[in-house]
Amino acid sequence: MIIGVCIKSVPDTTAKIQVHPDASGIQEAGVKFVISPYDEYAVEQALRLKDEDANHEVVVFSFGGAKGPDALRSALAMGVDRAIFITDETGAAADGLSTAKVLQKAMAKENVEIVFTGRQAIDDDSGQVSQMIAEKLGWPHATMVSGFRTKGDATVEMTRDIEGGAKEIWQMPLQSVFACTKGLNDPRYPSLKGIMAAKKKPLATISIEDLGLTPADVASKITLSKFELPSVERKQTIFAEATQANVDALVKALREEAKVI
Amino acid sequence: MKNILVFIEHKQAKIKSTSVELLGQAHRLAKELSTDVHALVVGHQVDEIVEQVSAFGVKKVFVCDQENAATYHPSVYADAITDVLQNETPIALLATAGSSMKDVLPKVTARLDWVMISEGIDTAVQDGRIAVKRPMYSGKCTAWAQINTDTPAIFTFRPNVFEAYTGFVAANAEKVAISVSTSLSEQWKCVERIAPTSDKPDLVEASVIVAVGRSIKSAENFAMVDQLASVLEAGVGASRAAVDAGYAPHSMQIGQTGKVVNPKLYFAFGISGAIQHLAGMRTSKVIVAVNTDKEAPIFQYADYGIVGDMFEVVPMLTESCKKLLAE
Repeated sequence: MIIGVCIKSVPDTTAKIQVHPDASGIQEAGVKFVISPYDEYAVEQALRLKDEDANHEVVVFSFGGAKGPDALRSALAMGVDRAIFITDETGAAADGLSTAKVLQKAMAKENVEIVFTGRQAIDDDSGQVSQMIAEKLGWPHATMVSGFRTKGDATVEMTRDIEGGAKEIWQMPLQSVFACTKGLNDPRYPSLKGIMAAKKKPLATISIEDLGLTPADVASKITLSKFELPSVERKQTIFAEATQANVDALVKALREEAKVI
Repeated sequence: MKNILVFIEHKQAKIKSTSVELLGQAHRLAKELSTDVHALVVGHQVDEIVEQVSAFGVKKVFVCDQENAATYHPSVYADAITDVLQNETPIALLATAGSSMKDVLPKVTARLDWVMISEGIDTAVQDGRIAVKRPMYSGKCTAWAQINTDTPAIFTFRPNVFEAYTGFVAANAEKVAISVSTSLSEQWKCVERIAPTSDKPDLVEASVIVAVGRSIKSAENFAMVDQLASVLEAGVGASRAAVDAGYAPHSMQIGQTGKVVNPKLYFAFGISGAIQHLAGMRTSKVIVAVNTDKEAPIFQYADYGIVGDMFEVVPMLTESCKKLLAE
């Protein structure tokens, strides 16, 4: 079986985000990029299937971003077999559906039989691409996947997290697209051996034209602008001691000044 | 004339407050775009919901009322929503960014070849089109997303982001019944629903949240915080450090790799204010921080704070709030 995994290179969670002076985006210089954390659960789940059956091949895909190849290289170091980077010359990746069209074509070309993604990339936090890929493939999808057990050759029983700590167990065909969330597994760290091996593993760079798409097919229908940092003025009334009088004063302020209780 | 369509979510025969919030914003947009607000209801035995919709100035309500829509299944919901969108072609569909709509609307967008913007927190009308403000990088910054074509759009919005709308004028909504012949495969089905272990409000929808850091020291110690939460009808959250230490489940995690929340009042107990945590809660209307370290970064983002031990402050706070709310 060929297992497809889609990943995205994003600023590290600890990165301080600075907006470009013209508000057209963020400043990427000096920012450390990593595999989007939820995508690591997707990579790990694919590798676990391969751990059970070494005949499986795990192929990882990424669309766009200057640091995309680095993220793919990290996935190769975790144990993925090969990687495909699709360049984004026109900013198509700003649109979830355009991204899904590209990734779907790339995976169909490689005859992928099951797909894992993260539940959302932690840069735009849209959470769309996984379900869109499934629709384009004509396959079922599952989001917020926090449990995954194969049952026989063609069926999966998976756990899906929903609101307020509730969960659902779904039965799905193996040939589905799974958007993974925290709790599913503990992603492995690349070993030194893995990092060395990754340097020799195939990482192909292709264009959307190689997939039979034109820039018009995937033109972003979304324009992002006016990026800004949150600038909420905070009152900063800080009591220096934990006394009952101070606690009462705080509660009074929450009622009378802030009007929130 | 193209309209603005709102997907109505309901629970126990009542329209959810989050859907009422969206109906209000839909009216604001409809006024600017000189159009009407229509609604879409999916479910089983939803007559009461359809009746309630009229009170919110909805001119036309599409209803998919069938047995296999009683609980959420992506196939049925996608077919029902697609059916209405294809025939109605609204300017935009507005829905709440909850677990069902986040799951199904990308599927619908792909099927129709439309465009989708998720997790909006504000709207504007620019050049006759709707633009949506949304958090980026898990709330570390925001940006405006503008649709640059005439393609109809699908938007989801976070709960509790729009001011309550007071201008609803009751209308006699015209009811349009639709049905879809989705045949559910045995291969793709929900086999079990597991109720939440906590009876507290969902974090994303809660208007008050009490959150604790790793210094809670154990899962058992949450009982103390639960008492305060009960008094304030608050949701209970935790920092990543507390979750990673095993004191709370991931469903309670607030921050960049957990939930992003936006309550009226947020209590941070023993949370230092790491950048990943701030990303998940800094848009809260009022933030209260309690920490033993007066240099903790969280105080810079707080409206109110107490330098002290949460094990002392929380019980005092619980009593004080109880007294106030009993008055």
